[in-house]
Amino acid sequence: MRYILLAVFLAGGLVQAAIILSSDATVRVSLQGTAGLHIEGTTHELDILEQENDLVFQVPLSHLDTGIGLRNRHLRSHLDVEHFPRAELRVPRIAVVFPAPGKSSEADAPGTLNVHGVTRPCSVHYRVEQGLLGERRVRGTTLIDMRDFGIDAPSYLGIHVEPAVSVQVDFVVRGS
Amino acid sequence: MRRARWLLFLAAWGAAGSAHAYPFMIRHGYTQCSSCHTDPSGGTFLNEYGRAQSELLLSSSYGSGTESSDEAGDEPTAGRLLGFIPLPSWFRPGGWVREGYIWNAVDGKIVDRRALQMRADLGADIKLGAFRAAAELGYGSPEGTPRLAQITHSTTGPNLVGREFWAGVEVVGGDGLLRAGRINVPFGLRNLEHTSFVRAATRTDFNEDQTYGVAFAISKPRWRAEVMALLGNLSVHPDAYRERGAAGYAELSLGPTAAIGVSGLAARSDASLVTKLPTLRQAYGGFARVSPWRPLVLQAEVDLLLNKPLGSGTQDVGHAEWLQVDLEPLRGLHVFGALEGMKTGSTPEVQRGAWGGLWWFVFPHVDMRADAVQRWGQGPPTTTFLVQLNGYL
Repeated sequence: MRYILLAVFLAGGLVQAAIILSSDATVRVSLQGTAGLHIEGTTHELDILEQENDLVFQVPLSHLDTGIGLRNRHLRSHLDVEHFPRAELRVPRIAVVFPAPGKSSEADAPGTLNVHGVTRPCSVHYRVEQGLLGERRVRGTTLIDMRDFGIDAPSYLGIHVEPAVSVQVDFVVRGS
Repeated sequence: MRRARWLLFLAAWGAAGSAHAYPFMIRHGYTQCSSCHTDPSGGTFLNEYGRAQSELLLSSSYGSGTESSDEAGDEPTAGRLLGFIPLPSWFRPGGWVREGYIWNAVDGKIVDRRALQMRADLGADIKLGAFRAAAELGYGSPEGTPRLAQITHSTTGPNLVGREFWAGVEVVGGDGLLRAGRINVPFGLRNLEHTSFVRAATRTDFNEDQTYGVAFAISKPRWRAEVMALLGNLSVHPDAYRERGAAGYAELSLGPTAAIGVSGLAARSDASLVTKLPTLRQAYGGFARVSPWRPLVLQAEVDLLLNKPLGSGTQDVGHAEWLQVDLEPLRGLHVFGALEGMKTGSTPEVQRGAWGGLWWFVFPHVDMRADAVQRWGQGPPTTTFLVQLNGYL
């Protein structure tokens, strides 16, 4: 089990705090294309911060893996990872309902998503399961249109990818 | 012994002329066939994307890492004939050659050994806007002609063979294809092992069991389906032997590497090839593919076989099963095995079979395969060894 401990910054109160993830986080990006093509890209790199009353989710994009090396290279090129190495989702903490121990909550929360250097509002559907020992199991999903972020829908050898992208994030939080 | 030799001859005859369809590509997240194949349910013709995946995923790589590593996967030469002749994207010519050598044994004694000319075909597919067409024409040797796909009808010399030719239009935004012609019958796993009990008993292999008809196929990211009106195989004479009816399947993806499906087929002929009586033949079944770990793919199919001589008041009930394991320890090198069973309505015995072998995709467009097949349960046990070399453009 991999533990990710992020830097903690305290200056005049809690300005930015890392959150401890107690298990492998998974970020899954799903795309669909012509002729029933389904592509999934996965990364286990996820940083979560609490910053200015926002929950901030940062995903380094350089290791997003679709299972095929050449396709990964095309993906990184499309996302221009060299100039925009990460995606960032910000959700106001107040918009998230944290359940009591042993309970769960599920709702939609507004947020802002930054990809490819472009920031757009988005809606995140989330489910939080609060464990009895303090751990929180979280799943969040959102649907975006890559064109809103200045990304052209990819096309390769006659196969076209739809601009709609489904993003799903799963992780377990032990701290915060 | 003469009967066993005759059965072996028929089995070897049926082994001639195989083509390409690799349901194990589900290990790479490809639950759909239409991403890579011109036939939306999988088959011989590869589209440009499919040719690229053939280079990137199917064949062995030498010193360039795994297919998912960043080092792997140079830009493929797909779209170029012989790897260097550029072609327009709307026209994709192809050629296929498959040669083999077979040994057949009965009760442990070799009774037949010979070279097999399995396939020598040329073909092309065209895509002009929404219009699509594909056709292939081949040579069938005197011993190796797939009789149900022959165009000429010499019984002593070579024949022209046409397994597949159709024209159609894309519908539903390109996700659907409506076509007419000689088409693979949509049923079950489209596995390469066309002499397997499930393919032979349901008469749905894609070596020679294609038939004339009209088909509609649709491919969505989570499911795919095809239905076909069977209008009869014009390679079969006289007309009384031609089966007419319907067939189809639907497959649901349970995830990127798992899928389950159901199939059905009902066809009537005025004369069964076996009994010469008017017959309604039906088959219904389920199939599944799953890759729990990328090097491993499991495939299974179970079919119920119903055969009813019309007017007799009786119905023969049988079944056929197939369970296949494909292990790819190194890219391009496959170790495979399968267990199968079959009981046709007309025989009381359950036949069993076990397959094992190696399959090596040596280079893009070239593969070698060795099979050992043991069968028992009806008559003396038989063993077949088959090695084959396949190349395609």
